[in-house]
Formats: sequence, C-alpha cells, structure tokens
Amino acid sequence: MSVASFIISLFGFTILAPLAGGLLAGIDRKVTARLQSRVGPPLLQPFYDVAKLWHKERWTVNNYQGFYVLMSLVFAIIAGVIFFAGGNFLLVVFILTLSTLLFVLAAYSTRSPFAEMGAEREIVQVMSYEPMVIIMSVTYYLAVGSFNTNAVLTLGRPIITYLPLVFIGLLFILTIKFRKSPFDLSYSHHAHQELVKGISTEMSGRTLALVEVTHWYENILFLGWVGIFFVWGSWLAVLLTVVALVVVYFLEIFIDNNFARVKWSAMLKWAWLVTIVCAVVNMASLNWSWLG
Amino acid sequence: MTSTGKSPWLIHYDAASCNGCDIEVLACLTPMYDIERFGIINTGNPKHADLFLVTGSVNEQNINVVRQIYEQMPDPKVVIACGICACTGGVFRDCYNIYGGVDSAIPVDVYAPGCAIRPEAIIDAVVVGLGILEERRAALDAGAALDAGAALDPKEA
Amino acid sequence: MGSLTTLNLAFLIIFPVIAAGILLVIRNERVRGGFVVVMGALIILASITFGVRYIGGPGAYLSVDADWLSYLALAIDMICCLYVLLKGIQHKRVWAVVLALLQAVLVICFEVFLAHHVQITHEIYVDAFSAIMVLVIGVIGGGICIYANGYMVDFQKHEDEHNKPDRRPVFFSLMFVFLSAMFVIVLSNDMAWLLTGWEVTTVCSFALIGYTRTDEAIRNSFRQIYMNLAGGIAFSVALIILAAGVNGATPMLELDKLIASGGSVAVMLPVMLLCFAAFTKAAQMPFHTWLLGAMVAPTPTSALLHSSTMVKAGVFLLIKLAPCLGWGFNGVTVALVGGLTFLACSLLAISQSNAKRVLAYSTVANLGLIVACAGVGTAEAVWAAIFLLVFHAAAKSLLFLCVGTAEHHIGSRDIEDMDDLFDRLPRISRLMALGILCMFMAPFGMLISKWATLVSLADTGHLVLIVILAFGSAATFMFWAKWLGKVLAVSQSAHPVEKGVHRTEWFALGLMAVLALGLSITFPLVSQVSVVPYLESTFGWHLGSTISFDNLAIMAVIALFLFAIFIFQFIRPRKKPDIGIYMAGIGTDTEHREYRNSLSGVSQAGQRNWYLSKAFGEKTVTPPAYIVSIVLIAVGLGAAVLIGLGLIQTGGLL
Repeated sequence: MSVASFIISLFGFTILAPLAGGLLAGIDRKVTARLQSRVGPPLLQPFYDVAKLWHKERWTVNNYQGFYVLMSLVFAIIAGVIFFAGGNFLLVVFILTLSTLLFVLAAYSTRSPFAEMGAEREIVQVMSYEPMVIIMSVTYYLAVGSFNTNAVLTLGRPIITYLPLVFIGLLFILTIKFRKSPFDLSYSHHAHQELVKGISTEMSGRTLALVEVTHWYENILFLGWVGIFFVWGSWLAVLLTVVALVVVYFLEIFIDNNFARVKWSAMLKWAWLVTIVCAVVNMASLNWSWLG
Repeated sequence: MTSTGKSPWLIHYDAASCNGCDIEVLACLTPMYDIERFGIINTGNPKHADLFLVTGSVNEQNINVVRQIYEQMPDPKVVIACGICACTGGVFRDCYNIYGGVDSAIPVDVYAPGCAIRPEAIIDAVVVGLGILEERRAALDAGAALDAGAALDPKEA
Repeated sequence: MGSLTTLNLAFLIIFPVIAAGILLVIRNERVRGGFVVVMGALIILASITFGVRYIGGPGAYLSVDADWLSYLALAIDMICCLYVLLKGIQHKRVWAVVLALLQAVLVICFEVFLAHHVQITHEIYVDAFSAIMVLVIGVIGGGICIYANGYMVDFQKHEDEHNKPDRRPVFFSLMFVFLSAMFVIVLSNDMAWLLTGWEVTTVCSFALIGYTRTDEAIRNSFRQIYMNLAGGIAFSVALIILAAGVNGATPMLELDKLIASGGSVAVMLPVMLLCFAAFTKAAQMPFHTWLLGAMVAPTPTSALLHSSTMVKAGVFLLIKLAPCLGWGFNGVTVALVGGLTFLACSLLAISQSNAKRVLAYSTVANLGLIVACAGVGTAEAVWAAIFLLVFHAAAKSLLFLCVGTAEHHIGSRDIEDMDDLFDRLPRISRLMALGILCMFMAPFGMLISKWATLVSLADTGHLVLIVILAFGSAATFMFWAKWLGKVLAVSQSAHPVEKGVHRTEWFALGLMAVLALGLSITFPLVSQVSVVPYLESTFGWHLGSTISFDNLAIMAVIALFLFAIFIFQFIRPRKKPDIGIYMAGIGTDTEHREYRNSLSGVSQAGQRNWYLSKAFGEKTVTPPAYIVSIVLIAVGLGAAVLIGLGLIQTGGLL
C-alpha cells in the first residue's frame, strides 16, 4: 500500500462508494419490485430517503447512540479505503468488525428491548459469518502469498481458480452481510418487520441516515471482496469482474426474494457447516497442490 | 417536491376497528397498488415514520397508544385518518368505551372516509398528506417552531 | 554479570518473602495497609529497574556457588509436600496424601541419587523474555497486591457479618510469597530450582483458593492440588529422566541446555512431561476445571492466578521450550491441545452469565492460544505468544479488578446485573469496557497478537489450527460483545454508587488501564525493543513479514484515535433524552422500561442477553472436549514414551 494509492483510495472510495452504494440499493429495490411484478420506487429512491432523514427533527434517546453510529461509519470507510488502496486484507476484516461492534453498541446503549434484541441477533450474525471471513483472508494469503489486496494484480490467473470453494462459502455468508433473507435477522430493508426494526429501532433522523450510508459503504466493500476473486494481471479482468459482480448481486436479490427468514440456530448451523466444508476442503487441496 | 415528499415512510396503527380498513391499507402494498412507487415504506416504527395512518376509532384502551406513537414520531409528520371510524368513530361512535375519531386523541391532517376505505382513497389521502408534509418541512427548515395545534386549524384541514 | 545484578536479583526473590514474614505478624489494619502499599510499590519499582536493564539485552548467565541453596530448595519442596500431606489428612482426602507422598519420594530420589552427579554451570539467567516476565509479574502482581488492600477491607466486613475470623495476615503474606516464587520460576536456569518455585506456586494457590474455608472453597482447592500435583510429579519424573540421561542423552539439568538440544529424540520424553506439567499449570483441557473452581477465592487471588502468575508459569515454560516443539509429535500435541482448549473454552464462555466464570473461560481460552503458538514453535508464533501473554496479563487483571470492585458495590457478579452499570459505577464501567475492548477488538494488543498467530499458522501450514482460530475468534466476539453491550447501556436514571471505592483500588485500576492501553498504543515500539531481540537470540531470526511495521503503526494510530475520541465523548456533558425508547406505544415510564400490560397493570420489560446454552452449554461442549483432549495427551505421552525411550525407531519422521 503506497502513499499515492492510499490517497487515491481515500478520496475515491470516500466519495464514489456512497454514490455507487446508493445506486446499488436503488437497483436492488427496482429489481426486487420487478421480481414481485411491481413497478417499484424510482432508481434514486435511496438518496431521497437519506436526504429526507437528514431533514428530520434531530432527536436522540441518549448522548451516545449517534456517536457510536458515526464511529461505525468512520471505521467502515477506513476499512474500505485500506482495501481499495491495496492494503492488508486481515486488517480490513478486523477494522470492519470494529465498525460492526460500534453499531451493535449503539443499539445496546439505548436499553430498548427491541433494539437490544436486534443487537443480540446482530452478534449471532457476526459469529456466523466471521469464521468464513477470516478463513477467506487466510486462504487468500495461502493462494497469493501476500495479505495485500493489490498482490492479485501480479497473478497469472484469478484466485477463483485456486479458491472456488472459499468463494462459494463467501457467497453464503454474504447473504448475512448484505442483510438479505433468509438471514436478515437483526435488520432488513423489507416492509414488515418482526421486531419493529430490530437493531435500528431507536435510531431516527440523521442517525438513521448515517446507518443507511454505512450500509452503502459496506456493500461496496463486500462487492470488492467478491471482485478480488476475479482480478488478475490482465485487462480482461475488468470485464470478468463486472460480469461476476452483476451475477453475484442478482443472485443475492434472487435469494432474498425467494426465502423466508430463518431462526438464528439455523443460520448459525448452516453458516458454520458451509464454512467448515468449504474451508477445509479448499485449504487442504491448496496445501497439497503446494506440496506436489 | 423535496426529498421529504419523495420518501414518505409510514406507520400504520389499527385502533378499534372491524379490521376492514386495516386490510385495505395492506392491500396498498400489493403489486396491484404498489405504493412503494411513491417511495413509501411501511416501517412499523414511529421513530422512522413520516406518515401516521390510523384505521378504526379511538377507545379507552388505545387512546394512549395512539398518542404515544404520535409523540414518538420525529417532525415533520402527518396524520391520516383512514376510514369512517377513524374520521368520526363511525358505527361505533356511540359505544360506551369509544371516544370518537382519531382527532379525539391527536391532531389529524387528512380525513379519508369510506367503509371500508378503498386503496385508491388511501393513496389519494397520502398524496394530499404529502403536501402538508412538505409545508411542515419547509417550516422546520426555516427554523419555525412547529405548533402541533396548528394542524387542527380548519383552514389547513 | 555485576554485583548490582546479583543484588537486584536477590532483592526480587528475597524481598517479597521478608515482606510476607512481616505481614504475618501485623494485626492492625491500617499499619498493614500502609505496609502493603509500600511493599507493592517497591516490588513494582524493583521489577521496573530490573526489566529496563535487561529488556532487549543479550541475556546473562550467573553461577551461584552455594550448595546450601540446593538444600534450601529441597527443604522448601519438602515443606510444600508436608503441608499438602497434613491438609489431606485433615480433610480426609486420600488422593492428596498419595500424590504428596509420591512427589516427596520422587524429589528425594532425584536429589539424593541423581542431582549431584550432574554438573551445573549456571543456576540463574536473565534474558529479554525473563525480563518481560519480571515486568509482568512485578508490575501487575504488585499492582494487584496494592488493590487487595482496599478490597480485603470490604471483604472482611462481609466476613465479619458471618463471624468469620480475620485471616488477612495469611492472605497477604501468601500473595507476596507467590510473587517471589514466580520470580524464581522465570529466572532459574537450574531446573531443580524451577521445580521448587513451581511447587511453591502450586501450594500457595492451594492455600489461597481455600482461604474462605467454606466447603466449596475446600473442594475446589483440593481439585486444584490434585491436578497441579500430578503436573508436579510429571515435572519431577522429567527431571529424573534428564538427570539420568536415558536413551543415550547427556545428563543435564539446565534449561538452556535442554532448549539448545532442540528437541532431539533423547529428550523427547522429558520435554513432553514438562509440557504435561505446563498443561496442568496453565489449566489446559482437561485440567481447566481447577481454574474455574479458583473463582471462589477473593478477587485479588483470581486476578493474580489468572493474569500475571500461576497460569503464566505454565505458558512461560512452554514458550521457553518452543524451540524443542514445532513439527514433531510433541509440538503437534501441544499445538492441538492448546487449539482445542481455545475453541472449546471460547464456545463455553458464551453460555456463562457469571462475569468471573466468563473471565475464567476466556483466560483458559487465551492460554490455549498461547500454548498452541508455543506448540507451533516458530519465531513468529513465539512472537505472538509473548504478546498474547503480556496483553492478556494487563487486560485480564484490569477486568478482574473491575469485576471485584463492582461486585462489592452492586452485590453481584452476574453480567445481567451489570445492566445500568454505566450510570451506577461510571468510572468502573468505563474501565471495564476498556478491558473488554482490549481483550478482543482491533486495534488493541490481543487482537494484533491473534493476527500474528493467524499469520504464523498460515506460514507453517497448521490448517486445523487456522480453522480452530477462526471459529474460536467468532465465539470470542459473541461473549465479549454482549457483555460490553450490557456495561455500556445508558439508563439515564440510575444513581451512582461509586463513592466507597478505595484509593488503593483506584490506583491499581488506573495502573492496569494505563498498561493495557499504553501497550496497545506503543505496540510497534514495544515489539522492537523487547521481543524481537529475544527472538533474534533464541531463533536467530529477524522480524520481517509477520505483521509489517506499517500495519502496526496503523493500529497504533487507530488505538490513539479511539482513546481520544472516547475520552472526549465520555466527558461531554450529559444531555437529557429528547424522547423515550419505543415501547410499542404502551410505555408508561420509558426510562425504567415500564409498560401497561393487558390487565391495565404496570409491568417491566427486560431483555436478557443470549447465552445459547443449548448449543454451547457445559453439558454440550465439555464432554467431547474432554474426550478429545485426553486422547490427544495420551497419544502424545505414549508417542513420547515409545520414541523417546528408544522403543520405536522413527527414522526421519520426527
């Protein structure tokens, strides 16, 4: 991670990611509506939502909630900047976890029964996806020989060819990270909520706007994780990556629209099972191919 | 139209009613009517909502609930009484436990009658409500103190 | 090695013993208070002067030409055995008697028949790692002794209500003896002396766990002594084999020579036995129950056992032995036992609501991680292990002290009762939050050490351990995050009850907080100054690729930023809430979460944390973990016996 790439990423990610993320959310809602034979909201609807929230009355239930949410956004941005600057993959994962923790703390700080329930569910979600995320970054290292994300640019072929199973595991847990059904336990974008609005129940106005923006940043970062599997040192990579991202995101929307929410135990069980199978088989094969 | 008018999130509360209007509100979400076209999301959480849709009349048990949900909605906000019971108490108005329409608990901005109210009427009421919402936001942005009682002003209603 | 060093060494080891002797006779509470504070402060200062002198240095070896010291060591061993023997007879515990007798016989056999035939060049050594250990033991242990002062005043008040005798003189002198024994362990090159220190810590913690003399305390203290005597016996057998020179090995009793032998086949069995002794001391599965039982003791004891002493003696020995481990039967056994312990105890911690039990499981889990690193045995892994040890000591003692003080003021150690601690104990809760953050979150030290562990596992191809670490870390997030959430919940209405916290307690809490945070912020520097030189001298290795300096610096900056911004947030004036929490429209008093129920009465809403006890309860997790760990250790010991004694030739497999 050089200083130049850091500065480019700092401005590029900070400014472009929310634009792309908001647009992605708009496309998401439009596609979802079409899948349900509806017209759906305008493409720019997510931007209208955030702008509206920004102009709502500024209420808080305590001093701290807004602060935690703001810090959560800041660390999500830092994680993204490091990722797109070609920095250390594990560092990105750890900082993103910090961002998630701060979001959880925001909910806890309210002592609202609904928000706390959402926070507990969020923690179980983290526990479900975290092993796969860690294993993904370690297998990335095993395949590439470096934790730095810019190392893929020197490869002769994309790492999906080394890590096909890890990629499938990543897709599985991305459903949790994108907050899509069947794993949208703590917070979801769908109309009707089981527990009011889960983790964000007590957030309103600007605080909620920041939460939305944080999701946009996060979603772009996750797409970056998907994209890195298809990048190698060739211009063809751009084409392949774009196709892969479109397919993956459509797949997530498709899954979202075709599954009902499951209980936490099912989520945990399936996420861990998929992680173990994908991780172990892929890592073992990687190691053998090294030896051989 | 500002972003406020383009993104009205609603909370729906079903007070003392026969649930006919309640079902019609939900019908608005279906592909047939698809109120998400207007950027509307049914939030189920007053702290996220801009529009308060109440169906049914207000009684002893739910008057405080209606008031508290209203209190917990951040400004700017608009209340829409959906169906004749919500407007006036309807066929229940003379019952021993009924106070009357929603306006016996909180200020109402838009009255949308009907028994049961038709989805088209709900959408129409929401569109009228958006105009009021825009005015409120303009007032809020201008820093004017929002007087909740102003909503009861017959000129505005 | 100058006379100053000798003096410094002697001071570290002898001074606490003298203090302990004096403490036995001081009966006045205020005099004792002053004495303990002064002694604690002196130990802290002495260890800092010592540590600063030797940290990062090349190390020095010292020969002590005094036979009487060996006799003294033997006498202390005998006293320890005798004490356990008498206690065993008093409480009719047959196994304690049997184990103590066996240990006594082994030690006498060793001293009489073997020890004197082995030439010992250097009895004492100081290197960078032992300097780090001295700092950990002295600063954190000394801090805990000072903390104990205020804590025990409150504790005794509670005891007085039940007409229990005041046994605090014994308590304090045991604490100081403990420190002295730990110094012996980390500074002895003569393994017979090491064993003496080892036995003294065992017996001291036996006495400290049984301090309250309740049935539960006595039961738990005997569980501790069974397990640790078994470890002590393994240690003695290892010494006997080493001194006898089985299977063509040169007889040796010096730690540096053993390490230099690099885990050759001839020393395979003694090394495995030493690892076994370290497992018992470091409370690895299946021996973890003694550390859980140790929770009945007053909090300073648990803090001392968990953070800077006792269990750290176990991992200290393993880290020292790391060059003998690595890819071989011994190393893999150690790594797997540690990894299994880390995973199982992290999962178990999820199901606990008793704060001290969560801390206990988390301690065992982290020790497991350190053990696993030692088992991996590369320089990178040892780097991670040492930092895990240091940060764990600082953060865990902070947490224990916070829980202890909170318990005295809210009357409970249950996490569910810490709901509005944020307002009831403003400063304690913030320190507790800092401790928790330091245990599992970026950018703090423990997380960076885990990161280094992950890298070294990837480098050495320990695939099973990578998977274990990934899942264990996820579980770690679960149990810390929900506790942190409870502690940081803002209630706005509760009244502070923090007034009665003693000044000594504040001092110790502040010390631990500064250590935990300061070390995180100065991590890159600490690494360069202290640990890297040790690794260079032991492994001949230069810190290159594990975690680059850039990334460490990023973490340090983030730590500093977080610290600054949280301080700013916490000193900002409190705003009254604009709006109550959402209670489905039926809230009557949202500050107290009260609502109107279906009978028009008032009920209070509550939200317990999730403990997932069906999935991660002790009944589910412990039995399989027991079975696997026992099989692992049995296979490891069996292999060591067969191969180490030359019964099986392995060719190049080792």
